[in-house]
Amino acid sequence: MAKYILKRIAQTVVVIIIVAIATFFLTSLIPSDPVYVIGGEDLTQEQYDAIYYSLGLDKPLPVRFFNWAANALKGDFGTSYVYHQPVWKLIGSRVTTTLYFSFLSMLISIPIGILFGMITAVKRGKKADTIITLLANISSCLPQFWIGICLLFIFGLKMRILPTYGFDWPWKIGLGEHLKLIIMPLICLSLGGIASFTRQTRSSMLEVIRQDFVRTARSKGLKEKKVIFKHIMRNGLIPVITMFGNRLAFMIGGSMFVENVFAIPGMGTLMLKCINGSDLPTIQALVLITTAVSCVAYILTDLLYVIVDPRISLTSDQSN
Amino acid sequence: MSNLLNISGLKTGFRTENQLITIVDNVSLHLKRGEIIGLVGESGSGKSVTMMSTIQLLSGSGKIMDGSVELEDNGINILDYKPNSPQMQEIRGGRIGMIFQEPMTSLNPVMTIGAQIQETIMLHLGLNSEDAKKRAIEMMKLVNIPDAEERYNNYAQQFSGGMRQRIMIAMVLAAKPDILIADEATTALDVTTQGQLLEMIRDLSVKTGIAVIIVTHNLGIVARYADRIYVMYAGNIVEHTTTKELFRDPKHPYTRGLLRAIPRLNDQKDRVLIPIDGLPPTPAERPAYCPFYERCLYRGEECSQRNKPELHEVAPGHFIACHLTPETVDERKGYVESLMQKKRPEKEIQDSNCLEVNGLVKSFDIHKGIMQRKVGSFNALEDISFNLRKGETLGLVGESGCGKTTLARCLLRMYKPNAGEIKLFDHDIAALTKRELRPYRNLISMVFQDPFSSLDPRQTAGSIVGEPLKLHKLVSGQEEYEGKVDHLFEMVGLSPLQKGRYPHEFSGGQRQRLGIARALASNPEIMILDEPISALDVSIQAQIINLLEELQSRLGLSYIFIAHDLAVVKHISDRILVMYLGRVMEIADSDELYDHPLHPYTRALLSSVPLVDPEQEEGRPFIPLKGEVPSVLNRPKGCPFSDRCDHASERCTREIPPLKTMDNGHIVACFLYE
Repeated sequence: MAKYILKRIAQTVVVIIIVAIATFFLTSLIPSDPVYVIGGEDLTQEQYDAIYYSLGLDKPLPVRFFNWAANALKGDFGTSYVYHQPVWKLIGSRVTTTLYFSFLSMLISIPIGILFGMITAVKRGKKADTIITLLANISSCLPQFWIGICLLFIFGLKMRILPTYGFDWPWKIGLGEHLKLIIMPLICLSLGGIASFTRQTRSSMLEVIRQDFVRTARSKGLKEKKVIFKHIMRNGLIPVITMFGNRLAFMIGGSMFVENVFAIPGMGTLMLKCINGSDLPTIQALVLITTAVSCVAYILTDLLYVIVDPRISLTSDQSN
Repeated sequence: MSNLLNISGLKTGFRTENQLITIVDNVSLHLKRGEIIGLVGESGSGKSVTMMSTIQLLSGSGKIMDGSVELEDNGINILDYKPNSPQMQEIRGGRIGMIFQEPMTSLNPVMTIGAQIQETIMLHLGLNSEDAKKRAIEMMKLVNIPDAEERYNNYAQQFSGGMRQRIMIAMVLAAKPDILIADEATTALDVTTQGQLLEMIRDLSVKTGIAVIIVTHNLGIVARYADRIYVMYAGNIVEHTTTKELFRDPKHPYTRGLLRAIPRLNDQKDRVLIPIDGLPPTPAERPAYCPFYERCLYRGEECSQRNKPELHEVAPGHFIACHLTPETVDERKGYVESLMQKKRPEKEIQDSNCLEVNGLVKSFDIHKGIMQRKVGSFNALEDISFNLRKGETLGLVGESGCGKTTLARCLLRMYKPNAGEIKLFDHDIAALTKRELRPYRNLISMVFQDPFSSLDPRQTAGSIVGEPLKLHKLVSGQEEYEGKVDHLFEMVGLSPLQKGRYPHEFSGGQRQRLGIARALASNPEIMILDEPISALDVSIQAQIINLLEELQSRLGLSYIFIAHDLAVVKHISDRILVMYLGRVMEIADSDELYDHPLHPYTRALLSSVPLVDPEQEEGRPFIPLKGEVPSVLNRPKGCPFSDRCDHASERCTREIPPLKTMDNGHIVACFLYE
């Protein structure tokens, strides 16, 4: 088991290094001159040269990469071209905000999605199944920002019961205000998750219900509840667990839309501004952080997997 | 004595899109305490559905339409309970336990086997979890699972198929049910494992007084283990009597037909198999008259005009569902017997070898890790030597994993052997390159086990059969090609008009005919038949066996016939090669091998196969084998069989006995015969 975890961590490090290399070289291909981004369009040759050398742009690309990587390892991602302050200072609080929303929405969508999925699988073909499946199918097609705009329009502009923008922590503005601020973005972020967890749970549960060992469980005379919760659920959740990591990565990437609609100062809004402003150091840092968070999510998913499905740890034991 | 279980007039249907199709129609059977009964029938006869209906375990679309099931004649019809009612749940597992065919998938893969047994005990015996665990371990010991305490926390996938079926039995018996239903419980297992399990079930039945219903298509098993037998056909019970009576004097034309169609271990060499022609009607197409009418050799005008025959007593304790009177049957006896007079097709075995294998070794590397680096290797075949004469059939028997298929693949040169020779008409093909092999490729062809998945579903039957003709450039023009394909279709008893159809439009037997036609197309000298009939129903098997024999006599083919059904191998083979863990144990003429098996393994193997004859079966010794087939990864150092052999001496564990040829040509690898 310990060996398995170490192996996974080693693989993750390799992935992060590859992503780091790829982002660094790809962003350097962007056809905008960082000197002009920092200093503006009207520069004398001296001013231009000063910035040019201070950024180390005279050195070859691989050298710049190693300098950057060495600094990044220390947590120093350079200075933002747009905000003119250290990148780590800039992104710190924004990463926390985005992760807060992502995790909260995972906490909401996983149990609700699994619950709905189980209801639809067990009541297959009945009314509850038809309605929930239909709603799940619809809401997984709707774009997040569209849902966001609708919610804003109804609750924010027409009914005026919820604030339309902004975000702050509960210890600054109180829990009530905080909840009012986060409820609409959370609905936006979670709806898609609930829908996809519902659909995945439903299909994998239906797959398991047909298995021979479920017939065995019934032939023992077990109550249907026990058959479902003890025999079907654990097997049926295995493919659902695979989605956890995917979903989290997807949510962090998707935060761009929701954060923009509700004007939440998170990674998403920052990312958008940096891309528009060719703020290369910040983009690189954000991509790396997104990668790292996703990788951690995948490792956790794999560990959960081992706990739920003994077959996985068995095969890794045998190969050791 | 009152009946423990009494099923009467059971009728079960399955809902399809717009109608309810009857699968089981008016089935009645009874079971007494401590009795073992057999429910025999081909696939689709409704035997499993009958049992599933009894404990209301039908899948969603199944519906019990009529009938009653009583326990101990107490007047309570348990079919009145809802499937999920507490009463039914108490009966299911508590009174009637059931084990299923697929040991690989019938246990929950994410729960330890201990927890699964414990669950049953806590449910039905109401013990607390600690006592239930104790009893679960006791039960595991009862069904001979070694190291029960340690293995309690293992998962199903850590056990072999035979062991999993033992676990299933332990799980079912742990709740102390009165009735055990074994639904094809040993079908997927090797003969030796099958023998071990059935012997165990019989012992347990004697010891604990549990009544057993064996549901199977295998007449040998019921002949050996059942007290009474019910024969099912197309949803009806067509014959019911004691086992001895059934095999001594079968009365229903279907039962008679079945017994004429199956080969037996104790057959005379010249026995002809008489297949039952045609196919059973599908449930939706069952006629209002006798469903066996179309295939019946004794049928008369009256049969198609009258209603479906009811089960009635024709002799004390002997029931059949047939309109024919004994007189009419006698009248038609002459005709049926004239069929029996048919001779088996003559064949000519020449002295010259068409294939000679010497010291063949095939090993596989074991790879590990992301880089797939080689960490070791194991020998799947070791020192295989045998010869195949022109026109001969060599049977290849052994348990799963003994290397039969690997050997076949080496002979076809799908694998490259690591050492040894494969002489095809004096040309050693063992080490040839792909290019050099080309002129030899068409000389050996193969027929595969599964006629359902071994044919390309998107290719027409004609192009499946004709492909080798083009591949080996055996035809020069379109016209000649079409002519040859037509000819091949006719040779295997199919109409050339069916050329344009796709595989799914053919029945299992017809598909295997296509497979044979495809193998014949390249004009081979040798055909390797890898379990060609094991996926087919009993009544169809005889058709294919006869076809193969006829083709052999007509074309002078040599066969290598791989099968696990020893009776079939004995019937079709001239000589038999017994394999164990990748080595040859014994080679002998088939009669000689069955009459005087020399190797202890062969003896045990043969004793595991039930004869289809309860009278001969009585007093026939069963030689139990210790343990299970070890993996080739850790084969014993000396004789591969030494760790399971009763005769093993210290020398056997050190040295590998060489193949020794006795005076009568019987070859054996055992130190007992030095």
